[in-house]
Amino acid sequence: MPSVEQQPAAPTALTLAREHLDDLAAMCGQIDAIRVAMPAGSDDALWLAAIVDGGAPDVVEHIEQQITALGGDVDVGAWWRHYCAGYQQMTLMRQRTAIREPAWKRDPVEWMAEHQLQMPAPGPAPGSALDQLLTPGGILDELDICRHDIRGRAADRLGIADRYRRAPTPQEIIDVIRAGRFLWSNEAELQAALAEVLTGAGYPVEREVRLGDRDRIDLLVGRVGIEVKVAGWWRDVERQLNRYRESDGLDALILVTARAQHLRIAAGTRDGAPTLYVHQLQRSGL
Amino acid sequence: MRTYGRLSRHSSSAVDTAPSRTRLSAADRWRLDADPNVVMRVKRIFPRVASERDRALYIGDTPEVAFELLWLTKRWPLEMAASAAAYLEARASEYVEARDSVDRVLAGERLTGDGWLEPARAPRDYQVLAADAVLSVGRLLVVDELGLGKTFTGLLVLRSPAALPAVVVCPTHLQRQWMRELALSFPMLRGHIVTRTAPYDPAEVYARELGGRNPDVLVVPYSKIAGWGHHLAGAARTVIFDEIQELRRPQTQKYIGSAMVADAADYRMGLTATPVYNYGGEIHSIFSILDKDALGTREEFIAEWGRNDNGRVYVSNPRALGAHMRQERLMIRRTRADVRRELPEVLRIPHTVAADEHVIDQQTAGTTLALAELILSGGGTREERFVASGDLDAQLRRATGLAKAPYVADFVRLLIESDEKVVLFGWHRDVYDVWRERLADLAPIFYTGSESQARKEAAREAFISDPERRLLVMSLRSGAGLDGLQEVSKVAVFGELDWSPAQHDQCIGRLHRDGQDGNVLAYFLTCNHGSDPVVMETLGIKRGQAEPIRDPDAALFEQAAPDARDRIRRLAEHVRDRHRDRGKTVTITVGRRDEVVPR
Repeated sequence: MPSVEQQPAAPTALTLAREHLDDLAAMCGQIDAIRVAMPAGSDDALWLAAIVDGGAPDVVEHIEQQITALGGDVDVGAWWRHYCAGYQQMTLMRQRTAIREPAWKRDPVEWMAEHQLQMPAPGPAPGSALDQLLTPGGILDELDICRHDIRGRAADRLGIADRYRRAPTPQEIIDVIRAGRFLWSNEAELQAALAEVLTGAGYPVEREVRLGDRDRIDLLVGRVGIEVKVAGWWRDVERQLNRYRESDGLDALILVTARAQHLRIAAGTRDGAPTLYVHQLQRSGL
Repeated sequence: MRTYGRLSRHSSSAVDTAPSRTRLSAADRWRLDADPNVVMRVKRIFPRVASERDRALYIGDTPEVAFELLWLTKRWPLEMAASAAAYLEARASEYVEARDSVDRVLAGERLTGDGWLEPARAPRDYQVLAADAVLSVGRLLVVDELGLGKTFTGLLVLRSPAALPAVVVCPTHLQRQWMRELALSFPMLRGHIVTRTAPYDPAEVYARELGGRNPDVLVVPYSKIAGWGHHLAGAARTVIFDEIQELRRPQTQKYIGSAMVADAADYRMGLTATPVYNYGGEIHSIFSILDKDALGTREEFIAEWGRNDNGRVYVSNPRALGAHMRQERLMIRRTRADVRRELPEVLRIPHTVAADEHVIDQQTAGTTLALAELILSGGGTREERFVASGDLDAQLRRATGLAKAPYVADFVRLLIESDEKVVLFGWHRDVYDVWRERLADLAPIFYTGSESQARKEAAREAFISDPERRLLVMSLRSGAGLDGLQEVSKVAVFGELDWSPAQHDQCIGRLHRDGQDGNVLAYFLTCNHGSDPVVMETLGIKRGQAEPIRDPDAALFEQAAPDARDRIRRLAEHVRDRHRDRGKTVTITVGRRDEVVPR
């Protein structure tokens, strides 16, 4: 069989990014934020992906220009647009922005225009390297790095945090809460501390959000509600949470409680209602 | 000039002057009769005022209150008898003078005079500062971080001849340490440890040791102070309470005895790194020993700072109370960082271990339910419910300890296999037995309530000097102040939990002290069954009460140290790799990744 000499592969966005990491970072003005956020030893290219994934069009544009200047011919914007398209634009935009509206099922083109977001054009075929990076369950998830943290910080630096932060999953929220000790002497203090910690992690946090005529949830992150309790009989708390679960505004509900007794509240899914998570702050006194 | 009401002094014979749970403060109160709008404002300015049915407002007479009332009379001129006005002025100046003199000390002025003693070893500046603050204002609560030399700080008060003779009240296990430090710092002073609960004349009974003279410093353990209160009241010019949190319960005999001595002394000092053991109200109890006026009566304190829930006084805003106590120079706190004697930080690593639920069910079958029902139903006498609470606590905690014990032992083995010397803390004898059996090949050393003083000393010695003995099992509540362990170990494991976070800190302090050159790792092994979730709940509440009082800047959230987050996993990998190297295959299961919090 005739041997085929392997041609060196053309530079891709990722290989270029790897080679010119510092230039890119300096260009984007993000190097410090990113370096702090990245766990040691992670693949440097991931932070690039994270910035791209951060979704800020101006960041994408910077990277695109930089790569073009370096001789690459890859349209990073197209990769990003593909990413958006591949994820059902509406859902993605909803998740990654703090804009919440009751009528989600509207025409995406109209909705995005209203919020001055550009409708993505269809991108290249799936299966690309960037796609692998960004797909849920892809490399990023496997490495378990704090994507939301990086995105949040990147967006913060660009002053567009509120629009481009991605809403985290309930488990991600609980992981952030578990990662330290809280100090409180009343519920208001604990709420404030939780809001601060979650905001610090790059999440869009709203406080005291009205869910219905008589209900106001303590914290809302994306479409995940967080109710904070330091006291109260578990039955009363359960009743209150069940009311919240009837609200249209929530995908999931987390009870963050100081009380062991509240572990008796039945967590989990219940047909159609938002999933309930119960987290006791067990470590704060240790 | 228009006046808005009348301010008068009000003595009430109904007010009890003796130290008691309800009334610690002076018998005198101020009475204010004023226009309704002024009353409304005054209530806001003085949250501690009591409104009584004669429509007057009453407030305890203290120098600080006088200072504030004087200001009030400038805002709303009030009628006053000439004698009351003069008294108010005098009382307010008392406050200003005390504040100014302590401020001068805090600003760097050092006190000295004729006949002052020179300590035989050089004190550090911060130690002299606290002692001088006591000498200038008469009382101070010193809550310096563990290991900053509080004993010597206390002794420095005795430089002034006006401070002698002095009484040191301390826990029994610290008596000898006070004598040792006294001999090192002031060899010219004679100390004596009281040996009986009933008072005697030391110069006579211990004529040979004391050369017929009365001691300059009498060391009295808390267990004996009740009997000595009357005898020492008025005789001691200075009284120093070491580990003053021992006096957190005002209804105890030792509290009353201590208060008697303190009330009659010129200089009163409290020493502790952990002033609040449980709930914030304890600060009122202990501070009232040092100065019965400063925080008002118990009722006033509760009205101003907290709420009473079944006898437990919670402080609503402990941070504000702590700031107030510092600002009013009632309390001083220096951390190691403040005085540049930092040690590598403590990494706290909570880790969930498995527990055998059947053990809990077995151990608590029958009786616990009955006890729980008695407590919840409110039936029986108060004493019966109290005893039932104690029994329930003991049974459930013991069962939880037993259910975790094998898993705790396995975890400790993991640590020891990675070349560590480990101090394992527990509470119940049965739990120790499980550990003893499962870890028999490691020949654990025991330092618990069951060992005699001599055996404890031998245990300490063996752990420090024998490289093969790598596990020391200690009781959560024994060996406070024990020194030397830090030289060989930096790993503390809590196999059982105490009810007070301060007690955990005391345990960690046995490793985290001068001479420790690494990060102390404190593993808290907890489970989701039995008493652990409830104990952890209580620990969270208590920490929220205690820490902000002590450190008004305490962070609302302490992030896990990123480099140590995966410590348990890395530990497991290390052990596995070692076993692989030796050609063995072992399976090590580690629970989910746990968090580490720096202190």
